[in-house]
Amino acid sequence: MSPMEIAARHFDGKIATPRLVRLRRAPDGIEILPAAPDDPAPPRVWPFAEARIDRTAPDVQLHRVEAGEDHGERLVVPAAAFRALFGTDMTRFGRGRAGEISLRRLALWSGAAIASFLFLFFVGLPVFARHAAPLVPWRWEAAIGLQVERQVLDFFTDGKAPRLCGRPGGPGRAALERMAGRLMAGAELPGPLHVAVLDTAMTNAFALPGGRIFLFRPIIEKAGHPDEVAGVLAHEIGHVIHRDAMRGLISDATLSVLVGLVIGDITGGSTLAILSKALAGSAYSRENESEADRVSIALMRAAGADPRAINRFFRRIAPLDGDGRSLLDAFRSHPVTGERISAVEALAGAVPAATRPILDAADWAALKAICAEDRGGSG
Amino acid sequence: MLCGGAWLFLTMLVRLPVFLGALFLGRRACDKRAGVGETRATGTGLGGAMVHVPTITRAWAVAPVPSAPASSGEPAGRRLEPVDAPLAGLVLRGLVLTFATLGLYRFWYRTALRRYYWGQTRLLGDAFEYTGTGRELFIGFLIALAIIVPINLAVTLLGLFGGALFGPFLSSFVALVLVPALVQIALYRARRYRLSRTRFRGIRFRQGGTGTAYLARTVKWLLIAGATFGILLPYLRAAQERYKIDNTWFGSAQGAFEARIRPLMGPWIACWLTALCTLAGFAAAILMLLGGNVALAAGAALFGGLALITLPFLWMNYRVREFRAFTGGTRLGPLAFRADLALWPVIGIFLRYALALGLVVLAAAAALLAGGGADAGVEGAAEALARSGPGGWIVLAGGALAALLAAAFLGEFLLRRPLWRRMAASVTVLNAAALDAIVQTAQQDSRGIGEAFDTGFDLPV
Repeated sequence: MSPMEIAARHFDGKIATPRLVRLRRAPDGIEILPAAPDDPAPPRVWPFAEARIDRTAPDVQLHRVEAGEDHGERLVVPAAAFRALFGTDMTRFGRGRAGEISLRRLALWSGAAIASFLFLFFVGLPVFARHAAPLVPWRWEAAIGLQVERQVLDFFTDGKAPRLCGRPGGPGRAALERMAGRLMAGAELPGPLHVAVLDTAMTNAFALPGGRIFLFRPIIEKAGHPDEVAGVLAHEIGHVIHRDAMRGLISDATLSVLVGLVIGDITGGSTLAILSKALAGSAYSRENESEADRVSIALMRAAGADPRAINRFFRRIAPLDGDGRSLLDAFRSHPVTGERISAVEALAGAVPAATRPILDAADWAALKAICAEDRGGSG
Repeated sequence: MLCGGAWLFLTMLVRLPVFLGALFLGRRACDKRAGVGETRATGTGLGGAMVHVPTITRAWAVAPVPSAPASSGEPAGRRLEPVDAPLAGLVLRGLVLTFATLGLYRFWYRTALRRYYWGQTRLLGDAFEYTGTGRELFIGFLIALAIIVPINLAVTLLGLFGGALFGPFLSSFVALVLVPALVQIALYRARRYRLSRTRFRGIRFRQGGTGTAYLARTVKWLLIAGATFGILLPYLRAAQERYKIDNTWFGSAQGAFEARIRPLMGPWIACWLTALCTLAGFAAAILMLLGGNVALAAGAALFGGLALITLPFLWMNYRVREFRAFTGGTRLGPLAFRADLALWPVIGIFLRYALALGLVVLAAAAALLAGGGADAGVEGAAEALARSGPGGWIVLAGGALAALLAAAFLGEFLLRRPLWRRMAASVTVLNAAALDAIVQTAQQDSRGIGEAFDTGFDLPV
């Protein structure tokens, strides 16, 4: 007997029966001898590089990788004996599994997957949303709009209870309705509109799903002419006509499914997807904006008002800088660029000889005072 | 119809399919030589099995030879032995890295878990072996992402563009027919992947057959089961299992499925009738409420509610019996199997898990209420926290993360591992001595792209 021998079980990968063997430490590997000293079978050597350790407890199992192939050869060795014999060689054993996928192939498919995802994000998703949105029944969209309204208004009023300007049936709201009515006369709307003025200090306007349009108080306050307010309103009506809010919802939902797919379930994919969407911002695309601008121009023209008034309003609230590419902070969800303004100028063309203000002087005064109505102050 | 409340049980069992495949496996070769089983029981004095084989001289056998624990009784059969080993480190590391990598580590985590479960399941002292790698799962996922997702979108768009009549038809065809069909094929291929990465004593498992043939059988039996309002569901499940087992190989040993299904009909019909009672009870309650009869409506709702509560237990009962019947009906070459899985321990596992999960949810809600004021309600407190600035956001996100981690931990330790332990320990391999006759057959290594379609998508089936 040699103290340098240990007993082990050997599987040759050909039969499901273990063979009892003795192991010896060869200079560059594990020498395997038959269990019976008088067995004439010749000893074999597993080079360390071909021997891979699968586990070290409760016993040690090794598998052999020959020329990149695992033919099922295994050794099972008591842990203590294995350590005693090969403890100093642990770093010499090979690593990895047979037939492991190469990093090159991995990189190739990673690239393909990323390209595919980017294509979906920038091309597929908008196209999908554009064509899917009109298929959603208006009643569903209206229900969704009602649901999100409270949260959105809360967000814009900084936690304070949101307040809508004007009394029901009051002169301010009546003037607003007349303005909306004149604009809508030339429009094909998917459903009824609800227009309101939100009492908040931000300069903004948006259309929620279901035709719920909100103008913020400063829009009314800063406008020098009723057509300027009407231009903004007509732009929002444009979003309603194109169902941009619904498009946004659809692409958000699809995106969260996609991101959830990448991230997997265990991380609470939808949460992260929503977070990432919030980070990306929910701005309308540039294309959506110019579409809404076109509608704005058409509606204003049909109503006999000045289609270029909206540009005067933009210049009034934030003069463009030298480059003409100023991005209005207040209109983060409707970025106003010089490009957009000149596009409106070009589209609007010549101003009709006799434009008629969209509201008469009395109505304009009532609208201007809409947020002061129930405060009892002056306009 | 699937007794919905017990979906957990379903997913649990489905998630360990190869492990189950592995259960249908063979054992015991070496006790034939020299009666190892008996001699070992006497030779434990040196903490090992130096008596493992008499031809080895005592002197050099001082080092203990790894060998099977003594199995009591059952001279003809050998039980699978679930071996407990530390798992917490693996799970913690896996979960943390999965979070840290936005989920991408999950393929490696899943691989580590499989290595664990396979490796801790032993037969005659030898462990099953999972040879798959995380990289393989990951590339399958990448391929799916690169090819399948855009195709899916294209087909959906086609449905939208296709016009008023054709469009809805096409998109519902995609959603109701094409996608479920692909899921069936993918499930079959995933099983093939896992089997091809499973070895016992160095001998490989593999799965023949094709996903489409599996799908064809599924569809055929789905139609039959559908025509009988689900009463014949056990036959559908048996047909699927038959195709899987008949196409399972362990080396030269081919699987065969001979389970009798009729004895399962009793437990299934109990389940089916109770599901019917649930539906009927709630439907009647709504009708009576509309009719203005509140007392009768309450009675009907109570009836429906009781049926609903019973449902998960009846479903577990069915699944446990099915496991016994399917295992007992499985042959693998010369090997046969028997399972004596008991119902109550399984129910106990689910109840403990549900209880613990409920406690985690309660604790999270309580923490929120303590932080945000009890009168605001859970949702209100969460909103207030979210609005209180970045600090609040971090607290909220951290809390959500902790709750998710806790739930994942519970799932592993209170559900998957106990079920694995119970199920593995319940299986006896009969005629295990015949393992000696099994040899590795020549076969190509299945390492193609398609094999890696076990993508880790966690299909909810």
